[in-house]
Amino acid sequence: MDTRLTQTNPAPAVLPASEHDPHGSHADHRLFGLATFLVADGMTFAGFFAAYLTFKAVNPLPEGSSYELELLLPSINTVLLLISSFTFHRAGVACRGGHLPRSQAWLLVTTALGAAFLAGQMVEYFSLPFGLRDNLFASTFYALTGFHGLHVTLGVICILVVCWQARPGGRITATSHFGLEAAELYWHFVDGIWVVLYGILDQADRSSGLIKTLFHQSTCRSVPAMGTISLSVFSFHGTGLSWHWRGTTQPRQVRRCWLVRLFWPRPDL
Amino acid sequence: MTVANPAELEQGLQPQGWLKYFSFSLDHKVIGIQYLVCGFLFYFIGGALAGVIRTELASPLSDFVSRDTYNEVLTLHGTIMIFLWIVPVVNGAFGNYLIPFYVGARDMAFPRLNAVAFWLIPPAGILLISSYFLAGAASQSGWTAYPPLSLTTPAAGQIVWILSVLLLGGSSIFGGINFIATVLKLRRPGLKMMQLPMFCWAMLGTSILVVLSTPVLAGTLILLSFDIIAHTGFFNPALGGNVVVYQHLFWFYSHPAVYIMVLPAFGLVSEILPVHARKPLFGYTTMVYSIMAIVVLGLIVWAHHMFTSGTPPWMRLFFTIATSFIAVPTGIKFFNWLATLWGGKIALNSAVLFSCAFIFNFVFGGITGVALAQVPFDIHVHDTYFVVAHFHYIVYGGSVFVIFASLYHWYPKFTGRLLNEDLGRAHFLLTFIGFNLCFAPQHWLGLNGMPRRVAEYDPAFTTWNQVSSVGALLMAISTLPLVINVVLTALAGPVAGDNPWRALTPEWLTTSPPPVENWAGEAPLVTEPYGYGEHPGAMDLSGLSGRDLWSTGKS
Ligand code: HEM
Ligand SMILES: [Cu+2]
Repeated sequence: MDTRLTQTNPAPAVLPASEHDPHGSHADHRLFGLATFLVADGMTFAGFFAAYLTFKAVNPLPEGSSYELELLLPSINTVLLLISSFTFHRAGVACRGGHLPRSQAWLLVTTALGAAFLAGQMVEYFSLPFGLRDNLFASTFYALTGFHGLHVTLGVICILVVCWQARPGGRITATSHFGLEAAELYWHFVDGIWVVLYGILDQADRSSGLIKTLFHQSTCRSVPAMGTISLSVFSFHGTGLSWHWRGTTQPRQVRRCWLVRLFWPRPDL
Repeated sequence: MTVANPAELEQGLQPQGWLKYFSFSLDHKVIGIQYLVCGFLFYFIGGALAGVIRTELASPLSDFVSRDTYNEVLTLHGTIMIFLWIVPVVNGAFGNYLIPFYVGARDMAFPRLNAVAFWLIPPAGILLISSYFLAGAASQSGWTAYPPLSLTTPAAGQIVWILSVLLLGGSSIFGGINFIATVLKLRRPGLKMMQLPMFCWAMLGTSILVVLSTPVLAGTLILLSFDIIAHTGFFNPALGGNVVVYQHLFWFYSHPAVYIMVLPAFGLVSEILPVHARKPLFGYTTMVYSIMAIVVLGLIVWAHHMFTSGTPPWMRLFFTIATSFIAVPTGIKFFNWLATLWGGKIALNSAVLFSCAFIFNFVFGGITGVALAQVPFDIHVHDTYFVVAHFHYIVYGGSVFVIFASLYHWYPKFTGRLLNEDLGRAHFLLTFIGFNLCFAPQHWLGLNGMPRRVAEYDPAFTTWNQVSSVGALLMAISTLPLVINVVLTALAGPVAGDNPWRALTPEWLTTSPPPVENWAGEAPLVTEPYGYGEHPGAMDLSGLSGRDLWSTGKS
């Protein structure tokens, strides 16, 4: 028996809908999903940062153990990663402009920079005077940089895949390039995390005077403070990202706030 | 660029009939049911473990199981109930089934991710439970896995525990991403945020908490597993580590986790009450703002679990104040539900009985919660049975009661058949009496100093423990009418019709059970999901009385 015929629904406040697509096809939200995932991923890092800062603030370095970081290598690595973000951006611009071979070239440059970063990281690991289990700070240092290194490795693999897909007749074209944009978003994220990581691990302890006092104050209260800071950093980052991909899916129709325009007059360059 | 709905594309490849419930289905309704049934299976396992606990505690001596076994049972019970029963059911099951309807979509934003998220759960659960049999010893350090305890108990079981919690956390994060994208991005054109049914807001808030806090737990557990496997010293005081950092990171997830368990329940109750009281949801806007306030506050109160962990005074002060503040939005919601019921034509069916009992239990648990947030009081009762009573009043009396209410309310939607009201009321009475008998005495036990997580206790506590165990027995018996009801109804229950409750929310404006793409025609644009009695022409209320559902069991 078909109950559907006998049952009458109440007439709810339903308005006629004409413009709606009947089959549930919808805009591509995968980049939004990826960005949400990156916020989550960023919180993992935030947890590690909070742990490191708290350890630094409350746990003394045990007698006779050493925890001294290098300065030059991480700084070079920071520059490498920052440049690689820029080259990836160029790849994206080239791709959207229809110049796929040029895009591939930029992708290869980015890969090289990422690989150089990883190599630098390895050199640092083998030249540091402490190992994973030597003391609390050392363990946290390796956990943090190792976790980030995993992200970079994954990123490099993704870029290579994307580069392959951008070959003539490949999956990525000037109009359909989700893979490239996803990899780009991810790469900028990994890059941003590194900058924070570099600041906390390599710079925070060195800088003297006011910064140090301020920083020390905040590390003593680090857990609540870091919660707030990381939240605001990530929401800020998120706004930037949302602006970024809005620009990429609909080129030329970028709506940019005056603050961004002030610092970055022409994003297409 | 637009993407076609994968559910539609692959419909031809998807198995049909009952087989689809065992498949990698992309249909959000199938996935919802998968979560629900899977959750109930784990609930029965967790319940059996609770039975072991209460049997052991029926006498002061450790005479039923060995002490190690008791610790394993206690850990498995807590972990299963939280990560495999409540979180997957209130989020995964009802969220997946209802949210696409509520936003007027044909499916979730990422159907494939959705299926992946579900299929992480059964392996994780089986892994967890099998550690009891295979690894020789399951984890014994409680659902909180505090070091150094978790570092000194058998390592294999602890590692398996960490692994399965990581899998479940991943599942939860994938689900959360999907809900955020669906609510924010997949709304039917013309549907505004402030017109969404309240459950959407609850799931949005919950998912924000999931995305922000679950990764921190994952990171923490990874560090803990380093301590266990690689003998690093993050949390091991013997190696210069810091256990309090673990507690901070753990509770940064696990306090929000209590809201991950209860916010969706708030949303579900807000859907059920207006339908059966035939009145609009009272104070929609304040409901929305209190959900969001709870999300924000929920992220900054975690250290109220750590008042006795050497927490400095300024931190105690901050967390006491922040925690007490949560009572404000929670109270707003409470009064909104009361005001929704006030003067309504209430049909006292099982769904409503469970919902009202939820309000009662939740207020009680909320009051003990605010009491626990006060440092002087908490120092006295921390780690006693008072805390156990508090959170069972909220987690069982709150979330689980709402799961039952929702089952009675949406079963006709899932299957097209109405559950039997007599069995439903028997289920309600047994559960309500058993629950209060089981957990109310534990307040008293805790106030008098009975510590939690022990297999033996001072014989002076015997009487109230036995009362509590009798209550647990009643709760076990109470599942019988439920199971009988669900099975009998599925086989030969009365046909419900498409909209037995004459509800206005979009999931009822289609057939029961709904077709694959939710609506045969266009998705309705429902701008007044609670318009009961407000628009004179909107629906016919003349044939309605408060007793019709109560007396006949159908409309
Ligand atoms: C009015 C809101 C609430 C307040 C003020 C509150 C306060 C507290 C406090 C202070 C504790 C720590 C007690 C101790 O260990 O000494 C606690 C424990 C707990 N609460 Fe609540 N709570 C509230 C709502 C909730 C909700 C909504 C849930 C769950 C859905 C919940 C679940 C728990 C759990 C599971 C524990 C015990 C954790 C453990 O140690 O195993 N609470 N609560
Ligand atoms: Cu809490």
